[in-house]
Amino acid sequence: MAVVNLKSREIECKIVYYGPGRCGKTTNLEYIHRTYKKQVRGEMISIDTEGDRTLFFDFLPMGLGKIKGCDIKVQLYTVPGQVQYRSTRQLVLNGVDGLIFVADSLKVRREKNVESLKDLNGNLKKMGMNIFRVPLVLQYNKRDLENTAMPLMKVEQMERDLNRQLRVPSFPASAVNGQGVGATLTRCLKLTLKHLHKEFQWAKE
Amino acid sequence: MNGRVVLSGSLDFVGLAELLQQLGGSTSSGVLKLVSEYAECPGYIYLKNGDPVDAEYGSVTGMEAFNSFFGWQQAEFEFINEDVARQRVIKKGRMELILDGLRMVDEGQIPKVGPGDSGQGKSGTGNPELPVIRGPVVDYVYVVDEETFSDGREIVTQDKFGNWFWVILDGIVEVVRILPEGRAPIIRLTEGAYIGSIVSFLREGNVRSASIFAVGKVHLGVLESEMIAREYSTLSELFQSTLVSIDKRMRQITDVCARFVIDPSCMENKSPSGELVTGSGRDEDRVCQITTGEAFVFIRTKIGYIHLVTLGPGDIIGRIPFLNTAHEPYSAEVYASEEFTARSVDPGEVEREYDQLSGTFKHMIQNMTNAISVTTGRVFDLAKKAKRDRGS
Repeated sequence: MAVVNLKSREIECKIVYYGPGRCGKTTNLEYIHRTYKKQVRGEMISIDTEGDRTLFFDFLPMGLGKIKGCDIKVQLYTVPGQVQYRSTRQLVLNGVDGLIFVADSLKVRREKNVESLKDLNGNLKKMGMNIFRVPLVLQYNKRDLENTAMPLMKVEQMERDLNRQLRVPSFPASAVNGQGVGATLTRCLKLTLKHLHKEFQWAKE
Repeated sequence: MNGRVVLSGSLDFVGLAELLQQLGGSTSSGVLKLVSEYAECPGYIYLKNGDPVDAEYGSVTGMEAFNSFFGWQQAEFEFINEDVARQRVIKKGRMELILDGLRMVDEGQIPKVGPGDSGQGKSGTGNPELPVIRGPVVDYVYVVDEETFSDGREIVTQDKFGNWFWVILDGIVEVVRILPEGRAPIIRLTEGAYIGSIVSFLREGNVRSASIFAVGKVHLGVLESEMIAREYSTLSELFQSTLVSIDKRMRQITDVCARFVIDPSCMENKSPSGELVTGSGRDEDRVCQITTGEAFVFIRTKIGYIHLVTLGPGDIIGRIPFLNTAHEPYSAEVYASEEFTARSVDPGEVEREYDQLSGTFKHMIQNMTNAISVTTGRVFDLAKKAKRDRGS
């Protein structure tokens, strides 16, 4: 749920990167933090969670306009993939406005992707949210490994595995070199704002 | 306190993390008072413009007190709006404090204060009481192949030749030292941890120092040992000796731990003799390399001194910042033999070289030092248990 801060005339919303451990959530956020410096507000907070990292920073999207004269501030988060980080995951997901599910293109991670998406579904349910309604974008990461000997899944197969029912926008990406990172985030931001307009029944500008 | 209560409620309805975010968002200044029937006294968090600046729980203050409140599950809170004159003792940002606090709760570092928690301590099968070492994110650059082992399969056999390295992609393995008297399970390794010692390729026909078994289905990545050997060969002599020395510690500690696992009665106080080189906080910045003689690493446990390791010429003593073995100068003491001489080493020099290493190489080093600190921790625990058993 977005928070309207009347003092600073800002609407704060939260976008969370979800996905199995080591899928590249952190790499996505690090790339955004590095590349869109002007839009980043404050420092990136990095918490070392076992086998993964939890990142957080504030982001001011450009070119998306204002809502009712308020600027839009986005909090970008990653969620630690490991099961044990229950409290952290709960806090991060609580009140989420938009989600980016980062799936790993490596063949060996196929099951982990599906498990993690199911886990997301379960966690959203616990908070009374519906995965079919929340603004969601999929990203098929690590496409750069296509030119190496690492066995990768085809994008079509990943679509079948993860997006057959959801039918949400999806993007192939290579977070290490930034390919697809901006496109994924922009799409999610647009979906999120559209959703907020609808949710608060604000007149479309 | 001359302010007034502007907000109150229950932490089991609004968690501390949410509450702090809320107070932060409205840049509030004042005192957050927490009262729990499970805590001896109230806790206080002082906020200035929405940021926690200090905390207090009995005689405990600052970060320590602040973090402990994340473990309070059932408590009432009151926020008193007033000007806070406290010095800023807590310097981290609000969100970092919150995320870090929750991480520590999830990792079990912060004790939960409240009615019994049923979700604790559930992990795996077999010897769940063994400590588990997890590694950082796997860097696939060095992974050349993948292998799967079924439950109970022996991945590495003690005393057999071999210098392959693996990184655990999925599942748990158990490290077992086999002695004539029996099997001694030492530690468990899981995702991101490495199998195989970083200096094993130095030894012609390396002999494995322990057996490793799969606990459930285990998925391993085979590492490109050629590349690791090549990276090792570019290191300075000092850095190479440091790694060899760490490996030596690891092997000796594993032996000591294995003996105590099999026969706790052989744990006895052996007071160290000789001159104290470093330890108990003395000479804490001293790092040196032995040139002649020997040095003995001791830890002080519940049943007295235990001799863990004997080091010789070429070995490194002291604390190198990135090598967190949890030994000297704080948790172990080092004593010198009669003809002991050593030369000083600049830890900064070693650290600079470490910074240049590849991710995988760094992770393998961290893995070794983690194993040393965890195995040492096990010796401490075994001593505590032995003391308790002897007492009863």
